[in-house]
Amino acid sequence: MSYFLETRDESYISNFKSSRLNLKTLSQNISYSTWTFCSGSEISYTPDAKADYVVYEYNFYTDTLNSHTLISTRLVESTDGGSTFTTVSGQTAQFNSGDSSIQVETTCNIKFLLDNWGDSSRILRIEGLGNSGANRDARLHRVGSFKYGSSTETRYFIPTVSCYSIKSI
Amino acid sequence: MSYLLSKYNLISYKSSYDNSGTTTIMSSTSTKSIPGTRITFTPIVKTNFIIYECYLTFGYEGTDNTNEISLELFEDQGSGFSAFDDTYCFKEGALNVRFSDICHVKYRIPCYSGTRTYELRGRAQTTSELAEFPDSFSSTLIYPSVAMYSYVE
Repeated sequence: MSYFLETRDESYISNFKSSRLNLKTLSQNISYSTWTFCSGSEISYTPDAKADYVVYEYNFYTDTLNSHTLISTRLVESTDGGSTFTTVSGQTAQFNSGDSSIQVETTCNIKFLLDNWGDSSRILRIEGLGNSGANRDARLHRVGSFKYGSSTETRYFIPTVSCYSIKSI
Repeated sequence: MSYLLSKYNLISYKSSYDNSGTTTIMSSTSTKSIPGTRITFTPIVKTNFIIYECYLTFGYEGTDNTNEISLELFEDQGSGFSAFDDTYCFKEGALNVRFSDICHVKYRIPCYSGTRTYELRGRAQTTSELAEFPDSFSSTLIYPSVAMYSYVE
């Protein structure tokens, strides 16, 4: 007979979970007019019941499309297994520049701290929106004109999403 | 019969940072290691995945008015470095501006047995789009840091 005693009462990280799409290519246009689910950002998560917070993190890449790279993002969640999603209040972020002469191409990292919602499972994911105006979609994951040797080619940054629970002191 | 169920599933955590003050100007004719992104990691137990994560800064090279760098993950299994995979690539840059930024990369890679070393390497798009890693503007450096850890799913 053996016992496992739960004696940890200091701060800790627990229930770490991550996901990454098993793809060799990925390119996604994000509409300027309609909020669009960002590929690779979805994760189903059940917190540690004793934790205080849940951290959601999404690491992705923004490429240039029609000289535009600006993207707004928001966190949405589902409590019904993915049938419906609602916006999580206060969890928004915007990346890059709306100036078409600048065309920032860069990695982006979203990290949100959420109150622990209990021991039920929720699906979290990011929705994106391109710059306001026609032909101003954003593009994710595709790395155009990647320099290798003396040539360039298209490569990819498959995003990583993760969640974990935090118990504070 | 016994069971061990643990929610504390992060294991084998290792991290380091580079406080040497060394900066590197990226070249367009060769691929260079990014300072502070190299780490050697030996998983204690075999899990499904390992996380590679690093924070670094970059800035424009003093004589260029724009900068664009292609970067990717490299791996050494013990016989020298090679590019890891075409899906672990990215660029940092912008047009018509001197672009400086903080770069945070988080990769999930398949677990392995034994010891391997990882780092980021980069190359500038052209001779007029160089960049410096880390950014040394105003003689103030933010030290690059890197970590790897495995976890039980």
